Amino acid sequence: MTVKAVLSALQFRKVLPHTERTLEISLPDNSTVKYVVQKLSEKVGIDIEELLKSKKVVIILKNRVLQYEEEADHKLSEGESLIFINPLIGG
Amino acid sequence: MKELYSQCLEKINANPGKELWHTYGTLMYTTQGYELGDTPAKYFQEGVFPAFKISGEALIENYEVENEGCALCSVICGHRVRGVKMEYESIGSLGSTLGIYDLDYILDLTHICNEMGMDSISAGVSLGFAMYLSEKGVLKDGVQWGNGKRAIEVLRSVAFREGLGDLIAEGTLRMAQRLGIDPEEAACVKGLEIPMHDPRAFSMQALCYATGIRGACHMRSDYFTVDIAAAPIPEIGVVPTDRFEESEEKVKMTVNHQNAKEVLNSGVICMLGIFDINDLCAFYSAITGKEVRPQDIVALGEKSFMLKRMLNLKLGMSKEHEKLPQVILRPLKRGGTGGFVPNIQKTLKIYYSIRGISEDGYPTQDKLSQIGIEDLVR
Repeated sequence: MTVKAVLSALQFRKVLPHTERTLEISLPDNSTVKYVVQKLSEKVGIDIEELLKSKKVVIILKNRVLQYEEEADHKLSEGESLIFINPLIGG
Repeated sequence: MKELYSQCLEKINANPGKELWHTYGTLMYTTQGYELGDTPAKYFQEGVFPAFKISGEALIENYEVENEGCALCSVICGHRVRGVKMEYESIGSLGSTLGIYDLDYILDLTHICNEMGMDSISAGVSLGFAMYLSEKGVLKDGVQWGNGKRAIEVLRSVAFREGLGDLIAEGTLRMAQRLGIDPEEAACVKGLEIPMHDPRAFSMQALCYATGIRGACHMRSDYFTVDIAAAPIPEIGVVPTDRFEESEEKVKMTVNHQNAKEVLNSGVICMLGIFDINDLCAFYSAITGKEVRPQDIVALGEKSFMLKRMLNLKLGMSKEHEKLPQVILRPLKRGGTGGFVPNIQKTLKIYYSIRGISEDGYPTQDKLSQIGIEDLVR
């Protein structure tokens, strides 16, 4: 299956040009959020799990903030989007 | 107070956002807002646009930025370029709302607003309305999407009330009235232009606009900050959930949030979410000598909110004003809102019930008695 990862959090700026921050990722069926995070971490060379655990970055999945500590084992479905953002606002 | 200040300074320094706000300014939100469909474009009619070009990253890559902060704050999130203070709201209202993605033009447009004393949100959205009407052929000698040079010329004319600027200076609602077109085309609530948080991106932000004391204000309350986990208030049960949810539980959270933000705003406290409701309680107690808890803040805010609502009603507001215009209720085919449109009629009904507001828009006598302002409104 394929899912989309949008790496909008600013920590990714240092490692990826903005044109390459939306990724289509091929995964085995029933892959978990944790698995995607590991794959992405390997790809971009950033410990994304640490960013999620320290809440410097959050994932929006199905229009809500995923509670990573409790939902890392959530199984993804074909075509889902994970948006990685900083839980910060502008005004 | 000195002890509290030291504690707050420690809190600021430990905030994970400090470095990002300092480096990118509030423009750091532009690309994130874009992904969620929160940052509007072309007068709220487009969901896909080159957001990166007007982002905090683009600003620091292409300009010499001077940081500027509030007194005693160590975040120093303000960004000045060529002397012009650049903020997320101005980038959206004078940039993407107009289809302008050239920061040079946005800098000049922002400078005009600052120098001429015009609010960049109202000015930008009204100029965007003129572009929208020009595209539809309503305005003959109008202004086109993305034409920065013409936008500068027209914005100056707004300040001097000349030509087309004289019309735009009226704001979107009166523009529609003067032109004899449907006021549902005016992107405003209670006459105040909708800011740079699209109500189709967060169901409860939509409700906050509809019920806002001064109309479509993104400060009272800024509920979208809850659903991206930027500034939830778990102490009063306000936590992130599905951003499109429209349940009774969610509306309850919104009412609590609005109430808490009444007090936070009165305190002239930073809205970036660095300080939480416990800090507010601590300062409130230190200043007044009266111990307060988070629930007391909600109760204080409710009183403030209802007093203002009563004033609005006295000055002519009615429940008919509590809605969003149709121009903002059309689903966007592309972009981060995923085609969502808030059901304001549904959430407003729940909201009135929770707030103790009758169907005619007036608070019930029971509610006024409960919050202790029944004498004031007689």
